[in-house]
Amino acid sequence: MKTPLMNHRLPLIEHLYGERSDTADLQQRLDTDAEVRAEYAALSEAKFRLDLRKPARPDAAVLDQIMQAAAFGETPATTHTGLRSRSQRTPVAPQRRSLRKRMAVLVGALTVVLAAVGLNVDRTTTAPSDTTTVTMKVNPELFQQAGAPSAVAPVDPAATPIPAASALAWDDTEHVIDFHHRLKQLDQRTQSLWDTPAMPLEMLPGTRATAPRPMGQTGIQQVRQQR
Amino acid sequence: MSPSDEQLVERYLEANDQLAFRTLVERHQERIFGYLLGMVRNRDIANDLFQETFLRIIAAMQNRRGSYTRQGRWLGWAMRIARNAALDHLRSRKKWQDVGNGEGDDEVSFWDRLSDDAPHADETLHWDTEGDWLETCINRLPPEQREVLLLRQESDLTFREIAELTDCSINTALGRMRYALLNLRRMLVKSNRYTASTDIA
Repeated sequence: MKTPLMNHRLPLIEHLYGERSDTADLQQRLDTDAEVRAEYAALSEAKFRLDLRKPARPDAAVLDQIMQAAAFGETPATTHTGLRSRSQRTPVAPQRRSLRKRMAVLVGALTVVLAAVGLNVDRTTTAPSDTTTVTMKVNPELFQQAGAPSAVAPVDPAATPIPAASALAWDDTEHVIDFHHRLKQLDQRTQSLWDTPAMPLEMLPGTRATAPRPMGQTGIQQVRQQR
Repeated sequence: MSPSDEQLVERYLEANDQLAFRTLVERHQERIFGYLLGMVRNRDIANDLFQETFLRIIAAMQNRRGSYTRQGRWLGWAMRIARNAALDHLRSRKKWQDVGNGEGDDEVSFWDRLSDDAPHADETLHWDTEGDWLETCINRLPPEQREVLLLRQESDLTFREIAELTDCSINTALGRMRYALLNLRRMLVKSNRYTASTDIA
């Protein structure tokens, strides 16, 4: 709520800024009331300081841009500080946005392709110097037995060198040789069995039944008989 | 006799008189820029807002937005656009607290407001000029007081125009100005910069 005191003091402001034509009443109050006079002095002091301030002006470049806009009716895309002007910051139309999206996808795809090409070029240029050729011995007969087409089966190991960078960490040469050696030993041990015809388990050496059972006997003995 | 603002606007719009428009801009650049600078307290941002204000003004005058009716005082209309640009910026920065119609201003004690208004001692070390000191003091004013002070002191709007622009009563506008001046005076005394040189008019 406005107090009467407040309302009495407001004409001081109007008078200070020359917006009050009727000053007789105010002058009388200034003459008689010391408090009003003191306030008026305080207000005048502050205004006096404010009046001494130098006016601030915008940069000349800003004025030039405004004049350009006024002359050609066009709004500059950027403001004085390089920011987009607010009038330009309207939401982008959906059509335009989808076009941008498409362009972004296209650029992304191009980047991936270029990166892939770049990597391949890098590999081919560095292959002769730091690749370890891993020989993959493949028996062509195995492919034939498996029914694989003959065109696929023979693979020349020398033609497909595996670069060291792409070899797996455990694919060590010693391990491969050791593994190959073990496979060969196993192969030799079991080689004789592969060609022999099938026989009953009872006939194999090391089984419990040493003699062939008569027909009709399964080899399973009744518990009662054992006891 | 120099042409009025309205005559310059007329020349620009009817005859595409660029000189008339330049005269208009140069005539009011200090009023509009001073207000914007006082509100945002950053010269680069004030430059941006000044430019944006005039771009809006051009668009409106060329009937692109149709808010200019060619009636009333041109500066008052232009200041409304400048104020909207400033408030948009301040709101976007969340530095502006929406001010009500100001009727409750008088309920807050004047002296309560002044309790911590005096600049700190370390700030006073950096005051090279009287202007620097005064800017610091103005920046310390409550936003609604600072705005009225800037609109009256920088933009030279009347209190009636300020009341219309800020959507408050003329007494509220006067009251805010009174508080602003008294606050500044108090800061002046606290910083020992008070001089008794000013005589009562």
